[in-house]
Amino acid sequence: MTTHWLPALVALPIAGAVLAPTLPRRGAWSWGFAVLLATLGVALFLAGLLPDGALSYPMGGWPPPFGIELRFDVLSAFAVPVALVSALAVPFAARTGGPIATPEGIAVILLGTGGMMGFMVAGDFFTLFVFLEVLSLSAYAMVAMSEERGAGIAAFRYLLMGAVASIVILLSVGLLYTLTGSLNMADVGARLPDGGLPLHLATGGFVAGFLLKAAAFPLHVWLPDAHATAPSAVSAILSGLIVKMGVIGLLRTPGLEHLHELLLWVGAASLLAGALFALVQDDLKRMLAYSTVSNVGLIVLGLAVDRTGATVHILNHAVIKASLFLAAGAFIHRAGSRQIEGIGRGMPLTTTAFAVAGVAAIGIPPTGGFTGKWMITLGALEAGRPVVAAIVLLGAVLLGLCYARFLVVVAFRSGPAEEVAGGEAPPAMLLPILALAILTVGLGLVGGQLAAFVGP
Amino acid sequence: MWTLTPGEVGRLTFAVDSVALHFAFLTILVGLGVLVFALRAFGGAGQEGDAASGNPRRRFLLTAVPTLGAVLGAVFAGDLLTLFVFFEVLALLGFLLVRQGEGAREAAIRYFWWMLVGGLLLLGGILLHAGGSSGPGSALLILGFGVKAGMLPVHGWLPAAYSKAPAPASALLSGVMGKVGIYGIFRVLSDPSTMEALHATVLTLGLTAAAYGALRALAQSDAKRLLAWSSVSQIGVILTGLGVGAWEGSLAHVLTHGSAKGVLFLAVGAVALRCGTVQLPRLGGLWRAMPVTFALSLLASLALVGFPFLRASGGKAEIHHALEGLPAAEAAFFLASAGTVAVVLKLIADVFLGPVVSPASSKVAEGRGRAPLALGLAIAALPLLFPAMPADLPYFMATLGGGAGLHFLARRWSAIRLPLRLPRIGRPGGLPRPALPHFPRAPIGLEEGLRRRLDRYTRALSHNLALLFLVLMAALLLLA
Amino acid sequence: MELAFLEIVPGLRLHLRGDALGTLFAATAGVLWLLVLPGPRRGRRYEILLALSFVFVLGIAAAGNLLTLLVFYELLSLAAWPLIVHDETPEALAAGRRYLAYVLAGSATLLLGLGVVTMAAGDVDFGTRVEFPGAGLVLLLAGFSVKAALLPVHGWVPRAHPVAPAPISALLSGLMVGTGSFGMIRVIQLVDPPPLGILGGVSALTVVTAGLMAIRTDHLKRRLAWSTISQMAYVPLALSVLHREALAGGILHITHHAFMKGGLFLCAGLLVHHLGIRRVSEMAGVARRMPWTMGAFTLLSLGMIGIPPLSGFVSKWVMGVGMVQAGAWLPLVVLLTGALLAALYLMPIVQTAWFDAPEGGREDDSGGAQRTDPPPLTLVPVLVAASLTVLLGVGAAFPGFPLELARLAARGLGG
Repeated sequence: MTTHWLPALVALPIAGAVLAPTLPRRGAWSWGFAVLLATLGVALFLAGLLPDGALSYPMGGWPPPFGIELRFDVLSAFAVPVALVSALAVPFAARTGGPIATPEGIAVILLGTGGMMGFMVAGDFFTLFVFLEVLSLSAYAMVAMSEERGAGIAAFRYLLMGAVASIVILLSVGLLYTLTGSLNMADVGARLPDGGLPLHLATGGFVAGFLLKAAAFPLHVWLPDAHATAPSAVSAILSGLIVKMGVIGLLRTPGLEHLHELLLWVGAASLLAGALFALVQDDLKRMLAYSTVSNVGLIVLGLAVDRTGATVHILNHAVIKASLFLAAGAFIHRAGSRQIEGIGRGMPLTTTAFAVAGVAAIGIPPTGGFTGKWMITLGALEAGRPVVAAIVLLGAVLLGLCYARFLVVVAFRSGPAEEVAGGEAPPAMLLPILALAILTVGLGLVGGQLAAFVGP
Repeated sequence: MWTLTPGEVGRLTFAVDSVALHFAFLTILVGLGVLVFALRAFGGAGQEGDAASGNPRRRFLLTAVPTLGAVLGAVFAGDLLTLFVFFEVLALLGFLLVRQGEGAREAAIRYFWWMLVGGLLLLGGILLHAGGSSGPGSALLILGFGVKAGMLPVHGWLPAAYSKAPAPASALLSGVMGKVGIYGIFRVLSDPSTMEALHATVLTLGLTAAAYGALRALAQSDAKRLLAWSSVSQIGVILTGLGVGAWEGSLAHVLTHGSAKGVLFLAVGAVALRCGTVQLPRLGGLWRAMPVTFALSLLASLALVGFPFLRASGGKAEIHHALEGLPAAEAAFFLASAGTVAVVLKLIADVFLGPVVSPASSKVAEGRGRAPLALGLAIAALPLLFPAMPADLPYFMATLGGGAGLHFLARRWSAIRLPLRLPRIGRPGGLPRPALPHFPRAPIGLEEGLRRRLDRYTRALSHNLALLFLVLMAALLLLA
Repeated sequence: MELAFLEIVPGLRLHLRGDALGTLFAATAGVLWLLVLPGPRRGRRYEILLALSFVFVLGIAAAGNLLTLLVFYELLSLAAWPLIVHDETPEALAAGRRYLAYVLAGSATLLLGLGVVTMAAGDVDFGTRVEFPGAGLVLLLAGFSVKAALLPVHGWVPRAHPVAPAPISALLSGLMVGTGSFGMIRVIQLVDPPPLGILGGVSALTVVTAGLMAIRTDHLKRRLAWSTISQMAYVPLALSVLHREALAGGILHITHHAFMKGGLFLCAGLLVHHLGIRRVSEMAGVARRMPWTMGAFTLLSLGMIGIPPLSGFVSKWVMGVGMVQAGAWLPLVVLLTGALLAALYLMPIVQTAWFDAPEGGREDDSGGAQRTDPPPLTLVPVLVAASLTVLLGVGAAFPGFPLELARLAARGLGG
């Protein structure tokens, strides 16, 4: 009986998205917020059932290999941060204004969240693809809703590359169906042939498509523009959540264990390249975007050496990056432009939250960023790859310098923004930022339990 | 029983034995004399500036009294570490003492560095003793204490410091503080664990210093510098005694030299107060004006040269007796003794005897104010009454003869303007040569060229005497 | 006394534990913090981070396993950064950037080392002996040497000190560098130590080179920073001897050096604050204007050189005895050379401050220069530091004083 909540996880935000445009402008964000809070409750409830094993829900009563199946497993536990970050992003988005604050904007956010929920609980590859499209289209729309210059082009480029990825993934789904005669994930895994070109093509297609969605180097080129120009609340969702869908897709890919070597080096390259690019950025949000590339690299690398570590980092990074983007949004909102030199002097709480989240992003213990990074480092060492472990830590050092640099810009340097500054961000912005920043530390303190929760 | 084991760090221990009392006795009397002398020798407050820096007397007393305390602490130290503590404290106080002299900046800084290096050598030696390697440890200890005492190869700070410090400070340095170094060397050499080779080394160094210092002293025209070099010589004599094992003679001579040199430095200080200079050529005939100073200086001089009818003269004779059977050592010792005679002859003759060269330039040494000066001198001379050892009359006569000869020679040389007078000390340009106007410059002729060549030769000789003696002694000792 | 909680990564818990070494370190930190607390108010950020840093130092002192030590170590590193760049000048920001680069690189090395150790030995509690590959030891020592300011990785020290506010310089020199040495001691006590010749060689080189650099540095705080590098390299030097007494001396030196160098930096701060003097060459005759300050400075300098009976002497003595007992001659020579170098870079300051004529004035001219000693309350920390130097030196053997604690703490090592 309890598992009826499983479709509700997907249905709630999507239904909310449908209703949202009908609401008045002021009511829309409260509606979205309420819906997402409800979704969060559902997600928490379902996650609480996880220790008894994965939940399965056959749609329409058809048993799994034939009907459509929804599965809530360890990876789906990511639904909790998805719901949380989305929920917190909604009031933030409403406060920043612009198209994203309209009922339509809220609807797109809700739709995207629903897409992500569906993506995570999809039990078969076709459903997976459908929800991937839903969330991708919402993402394009969210980027396009920015008033920033260049946002349109960024969204269009995002769309083009996302479409390529979608097509590749769709082809792979078809290939997989012809190979195994099934689309159900568990079923496909059981019927998978031992080798052969078609299987490799299918796996390769999935990996390439999802790496593009995850923005691993060198397939990251769409990400910085899209994330930097999107409204900050959207950036938080994009960087914290949507990019992770690519990684979750990778984790769902059959036959991935043959590609560990590739993932390892793509991840390492992504980690280093992202950090290096981040080091030379002059725009805060762009730097954060490249930092995402770096962290995705870490996660991809982690898939090869320590899946549990990678999963933990997916969760933690979502919270960390969301907090960072929201703080950046608060700075920009207060400054009224991207000229944020010295804005932090008048916003000590936001700056502190930014600093704490930055520390977590670097992976300093005992914050959330450390747990996954540590497990992946240890995994690399145990796999006999000290070089990879060193790369992981080198990436952390580089990122540390990036964050320090922007902390200097925000809090130590004087600039035009200092005079503009009118004190702390409004509560609708500040509270989400603080909540997420506190959560980054809290998650770090219970890292061991978290790892045990998502572990095998 | 005093041993060379360092004590627990952070815990000062003290012990009293007869040797310590001996040194303490000297310290107290000479120190008291110096303090009394200083009451008058330094101007009081109200001259200029504020109380912190403008009161030389207060400043001196504030330095000298702790110095005496530290010296007492050092000689009553119950272990090596405690001794070291006071040694370092003395180094700092000594720096402050020297620094109070006019134009003594360079000399004081040099003093400090020498003491610091000495302290580090000492520390190294003590650490080695703590770790159980007493052999090299003792060598380092002797070197470290030697710095403080003014032992020959490590005496580089001494002439400048003694001559630039104010006279009472010089008296303290030479009469009291230098003796702490001697005290340390005594403790090391009298320890049964010390190697025989160290005794021989100290003996060699002592003899060399005794002879070399006397000759250098003879070449000085600055009374304080003369006394400084004489101190090097006398410390050499004491070290000779310690090296050869003549403990009692050495300790007696410590008392003699400490007191006598204290008196002489104070006397020179009194002369400086009166005449405003200590350049020997500008002094003369002061015995009439300063009879007490003269008498006490004479007493001190006689004690130094081993005048047989004085109780204080026995130490030297004892040391001499211990040297029997070492012909080279005896020869060097004779040279040193004769040199000492010549030096005190020169001092007494140039300062107190002869024609009155310079009229009084200062009011201080006249009239009512004189009493503390004389009293100070007298107190400092008290220890001279104590050491009781039979002196050696024939030997004294011989040294007297030799000394007279040397004195005569030196006079002759100085008549032809021997550069031995002004050896260069320190860095080039560090110490300006005082101009001596009463030696008219003769036009350079053939004779002049000859003299100059002779000058150069003798200067080279004097500068290399130390080396010469060192080699000679080493060779002879090896033969013996 | 132990307390374990919060498993922050699988298999590793935060773990607090009190022992002699930690107690001594914590006590040192406490006293030093009390010394730097007075002084001008510098704003909320400064105060909060100062308090946080104290908490983190206590965490380091009370860490019961390697992970906890590293956690607080990194937190301290980060919390110190805004303090270093507090003045927000371009130079300060540049120095802060360099500091962060060094410290983060060090932290990364440490984490790698912790990884190696964890792989081989799991959760490692202090007070036990474990075995892990030599690579772990090398990585951990290398990581800690960044904070300990050993030679090739010392670069942040002479840059960060001159730009930081004086109390922060005092803390950096007094404790921050000490945390590196502290970590090294903790690590060495975990294992059956192999010969540490390389560590000894590096430390010796650091002592001498940094001493020479200090001599030729004119900027007062930078000279003191070089002095810190030179003096604190004694600790790994003593550690490398692998002798109990030498290690006790090293541990003691962390404490004694903290107070002395802290006091010296506070004096330097007073000079900057009240007279605007930053360079040694400007200090001629300054003692006539600030006799109390420079009196404390002089005493602390003498202590730093190791003049008995001041505290610097005690720690060097204990180290020296251990070295001699272990037959380590080279470290002993380095120890004495370091003292000579300390005199060479500190005594000229004292000499010029007390005895040289101020610029444009005559020697012995004190009428022109006004006595401008800071108000008594500001002087208190400096004077307390100076009297601590005397007290910890003269009373070194008292029970419960640092010497006893240091000997207790060094018990774990053979010899």
